Amino acid sequence: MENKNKPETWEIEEVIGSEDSKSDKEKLDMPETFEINDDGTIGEKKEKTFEEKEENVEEKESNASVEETKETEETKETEETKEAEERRKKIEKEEKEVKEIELFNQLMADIDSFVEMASIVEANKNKKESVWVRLGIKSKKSNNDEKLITERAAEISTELEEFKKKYSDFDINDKENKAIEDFNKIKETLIEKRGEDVIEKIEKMSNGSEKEKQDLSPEKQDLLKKLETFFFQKGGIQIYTGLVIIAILALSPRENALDIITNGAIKSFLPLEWAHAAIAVEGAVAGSIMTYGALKNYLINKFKIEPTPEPGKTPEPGEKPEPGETPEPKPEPGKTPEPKPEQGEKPEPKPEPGETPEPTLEDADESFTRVVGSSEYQEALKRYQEEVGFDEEKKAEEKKEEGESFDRVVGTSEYQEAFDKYQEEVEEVEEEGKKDKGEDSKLLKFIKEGLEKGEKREIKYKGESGWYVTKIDEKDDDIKFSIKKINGNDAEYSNVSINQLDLLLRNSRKK
Amino acid sequence: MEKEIVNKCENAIDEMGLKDLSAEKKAEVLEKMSTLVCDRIILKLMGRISDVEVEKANEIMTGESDEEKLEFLKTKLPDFNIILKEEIDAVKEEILKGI
Repeated sequence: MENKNKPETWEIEEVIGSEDSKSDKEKLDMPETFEINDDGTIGEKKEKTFEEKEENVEEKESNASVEETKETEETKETEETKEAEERRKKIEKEEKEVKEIELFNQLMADIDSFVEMASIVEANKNKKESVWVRLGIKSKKSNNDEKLITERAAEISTELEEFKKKYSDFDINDKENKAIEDFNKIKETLIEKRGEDVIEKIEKMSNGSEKEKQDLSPEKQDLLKKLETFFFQKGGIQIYTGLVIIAILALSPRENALDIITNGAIKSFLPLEWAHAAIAVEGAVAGSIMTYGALKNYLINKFKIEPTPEPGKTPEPGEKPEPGETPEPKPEPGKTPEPKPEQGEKPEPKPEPGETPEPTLEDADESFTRVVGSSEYQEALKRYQEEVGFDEEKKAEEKKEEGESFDRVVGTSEYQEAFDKYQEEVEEVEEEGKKDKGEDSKLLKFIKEGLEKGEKREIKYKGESGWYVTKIDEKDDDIKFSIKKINGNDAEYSNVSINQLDLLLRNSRKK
Repeated sequence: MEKEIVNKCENAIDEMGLKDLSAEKKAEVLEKMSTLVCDRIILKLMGRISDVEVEKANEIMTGESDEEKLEFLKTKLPDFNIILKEEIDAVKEEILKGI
């Protein structure tokens, strides 16, 4: 059935549809709107009405608005992403800073606990010395403590270096940072002490080698002298020793080896450039017994280097030392050549054995209060006590060791004499200590009397003996003491209250 | 062989806890340690010369020829590398034991 109400537009579409045969070009050129005649034919192009134009404008505006909104949304999204990214970065930065602070605090706590440990070890050493040194017995525990504290110092050094690797602006020698400065001082003292111990041990071992030489048959001793003479005459012993040094250095990290060389460590054996070259071959020459001249030629040919002239000798242009010529004076057979300082170089002042850095009163007090008051201190102290064996088992072991030391000397008359004297003193101390315990006025009188007489009267500070009072500050009822160690000069505290002190009427020592 | 020694051995100075020792003191330790090692190697050499060989060895060492003397030493210490490593290790161990 035919639809009488077929819309006109449908017809237009039909008509347009019938025009399919027209080219695309024609289609495109076709007017957008046409008049429809009564007979259904297409009339002339219909002009757009104002409303239609308005609609178009509105449509365009609407489209533009949508576009704009879209762009705004996109911009907003971008900004939000950017902000989120910034927030994330900020959080990350803050977390990094927090981590850095935590690491730094941990490091400082470690250093503080170490400094405290070192002071305890030093105090224990002094405490023991008052008895054991007089008896001629060196405490094994003291040695063990020193070893542990030296090892701990090495660990903290590593921690500091690791921290420095992470945070390059961190100064491991920061003189403004008291903890680091204290640590470095203690470490230096410990390491130098260990160096002395190692040298002492080597010297003892060298004596053993000398004895072995003396124990050889007369014929072999004669041969030994000839061998040594041969080495010395040819500069062989220097090269021989040099080779051993190279082999030892080859076991060290390259930077350590170079550091030793550049600091003049092996200059007394090999000229600097040669030593560098020798290190470069990492002991390749150490496998052969070579004469001095042979090694010299080998290195010159290998590295195209000029040998270092002898001190005080200016070589002529083009002059080279003769094979067999030694760069340094020859050491006597069997003698250890002494290390030679660089010309014009001032040797650094060496600390006296056993000497420890002396903090100021204020510094010591501040450090002490800060460390003792912190929870880190308590934890660190607990850790330390576990490490050094403050547990009962360790104590028993130490007691056993000390007992063994005693047994070795117990039969001697010196021991008996010293021990009797010591026992008398202890009895006096116990008797008088009991009598005066808790009587602050008597303690104060005792201290004042000592100060007046210029005597170092030994008292206990927080239960630890070996202290004496240097000064009393009395303000109304508030009495504060400044105290110092009798043996050693490493610890000195002020503002100490009387209840921190105990009386130890063992003996008084003249200043 | 040298690489093998380096790889197998641990750091002598660090092991003795002397990594941060001042350069001067390090030099002293190295000097004394190396002299001791040298002495020990020479003593080892002496131990390898039998009583029968002593006379001949004395003759060689009194003679004029340096080449002959060197040849004699090389014959007696063909394993110089191994001895060197052994002695360094032994000295190091002994030092560590005592401190």
